[in-house]
Amino acid sequence: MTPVTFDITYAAFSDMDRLNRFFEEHFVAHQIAIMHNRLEQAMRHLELVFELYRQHEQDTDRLLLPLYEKYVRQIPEGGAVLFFVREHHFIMKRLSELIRHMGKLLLDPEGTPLHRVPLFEEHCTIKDMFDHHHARDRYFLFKYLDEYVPRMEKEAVLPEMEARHREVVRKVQEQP
Amino acid sequence: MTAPAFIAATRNFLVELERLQEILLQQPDEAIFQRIRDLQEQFLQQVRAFASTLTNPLADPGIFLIRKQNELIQQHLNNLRERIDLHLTSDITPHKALDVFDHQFRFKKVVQKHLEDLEHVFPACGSPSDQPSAD
Repeated sequence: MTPVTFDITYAAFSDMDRLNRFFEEHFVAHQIAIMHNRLEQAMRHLELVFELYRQHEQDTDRLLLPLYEKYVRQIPEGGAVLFFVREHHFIMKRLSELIRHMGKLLLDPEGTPLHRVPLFEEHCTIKDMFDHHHARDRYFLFKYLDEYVPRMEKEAVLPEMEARHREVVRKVQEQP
Repeated sequence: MTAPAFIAATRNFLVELERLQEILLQQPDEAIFQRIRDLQEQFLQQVRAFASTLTNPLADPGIFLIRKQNELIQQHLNNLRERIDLHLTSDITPHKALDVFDHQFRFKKVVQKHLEDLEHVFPACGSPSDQPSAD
């Protein structure tokens, strides 16, 4: 797999939209690697998505949502905190199952037949969940955080997250 | 086309589509796009033929539902055809294959639901396990 560089700079919360695109692009790269029977490469792309998503989920719970609740006085119906938490939970659950399945395919290829159609159907469901959730991020969470969070807090949080995301990408790639 | 014949045609469509999807994921080329397109066209003809038998839909809520779903399926099939035709105007790539696959998957869910409703509205047609074997 060609080395991946995480070249996203978070100057504003809405820059995290590019992180969401990063997930989507690497997820598709994961699928295309399977189409070419390059399962190890497929696993690397999936790990990248999984580990970064896990970090993004923790950051959202620990940093972003508390700021959102603190500063956005009237949280719109479609941007309720519960939606972000639950959707992350569902996405992570499905990604975990996929990682487990890919692990089985790699470790026991003879005992784990590659049924492409159901696997890619599951991929499609995950991509639809990404699409739905990322739209919510874009039009509610990132938008309102940019609008209401004071600059000082913004400047404290964003570089910290960026550094952590860069570190996750580096670690995944360093794995043997 | 009678309801039992259409139910059988729908089941066949789903089976054949899955077979072509497997090929699409392993060998995405113009030929497989064309085969999927042909299969869809054949199914569209069957859907239209069945629609012409659904007369007086307002007299029966079940028929009304089937009729509405039938219209939706025709619309889906037209959109899918346009999508494939657009992809066929330039080189086939894995991204295009994934796009076709994803749209087919969403369409399959619509057809599966339609099949369930058909079996409910026309119970005499039975489920696949009730059908005599082809052998």
